[in-house]
Amino acid sequence: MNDIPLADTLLWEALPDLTLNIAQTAALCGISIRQLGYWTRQGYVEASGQGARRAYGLTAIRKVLAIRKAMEAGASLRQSLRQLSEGGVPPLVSPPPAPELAAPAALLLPPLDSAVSRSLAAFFAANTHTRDYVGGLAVKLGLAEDDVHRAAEALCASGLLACSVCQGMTVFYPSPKEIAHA
Amino acid sequence: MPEDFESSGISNAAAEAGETQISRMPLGIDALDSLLGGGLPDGNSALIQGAPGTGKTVLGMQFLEAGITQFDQPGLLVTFEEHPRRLYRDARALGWAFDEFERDRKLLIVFTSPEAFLRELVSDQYGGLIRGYGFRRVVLDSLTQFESYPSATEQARVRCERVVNGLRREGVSVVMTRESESREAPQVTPEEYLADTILHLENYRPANSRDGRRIRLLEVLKNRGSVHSPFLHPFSIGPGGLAIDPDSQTQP
Repeated sequence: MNDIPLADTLLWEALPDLTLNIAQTAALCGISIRQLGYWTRQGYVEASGQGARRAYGLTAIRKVLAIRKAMEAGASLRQSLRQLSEGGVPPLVSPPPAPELAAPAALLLPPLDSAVSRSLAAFFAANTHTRDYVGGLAVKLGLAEDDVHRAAEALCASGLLACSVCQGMTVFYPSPKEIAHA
Repeated sequence: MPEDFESSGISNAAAEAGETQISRMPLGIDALDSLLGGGLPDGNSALIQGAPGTGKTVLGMQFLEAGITQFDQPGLLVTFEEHPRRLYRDARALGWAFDEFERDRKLLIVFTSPEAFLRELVSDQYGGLIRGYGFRRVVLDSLTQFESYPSATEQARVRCERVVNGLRREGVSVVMTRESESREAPQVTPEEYLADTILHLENYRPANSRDGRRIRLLEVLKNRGSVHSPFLHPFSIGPGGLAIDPDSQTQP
């Protein structure tokens, strides 16, 4: 699962005018798309647009992270929301690493567990119409191809990226919904 | 001013040359369209070449901006090197709302590499994108990136031909940029063979310049199937992009 400090760092890198779609927001915050959709429909998290075209701004993303953090600390969703309404959305700073806590299986997603993953995710968040193979991404990021390859596959598994094989080359892009919009 | 570019304009020269039947796509940059006899002949691909900083990308962006704002023609910009965010920023500085165009589906800036682009082009991924958006204008910035892409199986010229033909089959007008130091390069490149129109940009410091100031010059080197200005034309870059004075010219 993405840890919260890591997601915070990612947000910092993508500032200032970050907006993500539902799949990207869910992957970044380490919750399922279904869970995020439910929170949005219930009005716990604000998003612009409807359905697959929902877009989440920085405040909404921070709120999702804060809810997840409270739930990981043992609070129920209702308690998490109450804490938030009393204390407001916490400032965007990296808290100390949280201990590994058991979380509902529905909230678990493959990890974004490296600096390369963070850089790659931030790169795609900032350049939403990127379509490139590992070699091209490695050049654009100034990183080693092997590391970018592992990170791209992890982000694909998390749903943040999608890929297709074209003439024997795997091309990565932000998410199927992004491409469908295009 | 040469005879065929006199006040009545090159359009008259084009008419005299029997070009009235040629269908053209105006670039939307008045003076440049005039230098090209009214615009790019339909289906022609254009190559903008020049040294770094001469205005190649700006001219490519201007081609797209003019298509969107003057002719309601959506445009695709494929960038191989420049990050899209910098392109939005540069466009904004020139007075063009590329981010808004993109939101309105009038423009798409795709960030990729030559390797991925070629594979996706021949696999019709870009064809689908072009048909889906209804793109009429495509800019590739820049073909210089293809030179650093060695291929054991394909000659540079074949690769270039694949790019141009892959886009031509979609019926779009293609503008490509490429770095080139001199308009009198010793070797003709595949891009120069294949492009129907070649524009060369220079940022030149005249030997007799009193204040050391450089001047920007544009020259039409080739315009297949059409007449064009044989002169060097000074231009400037500012809000609105390239501003060319067609009445001001110098010998090549």
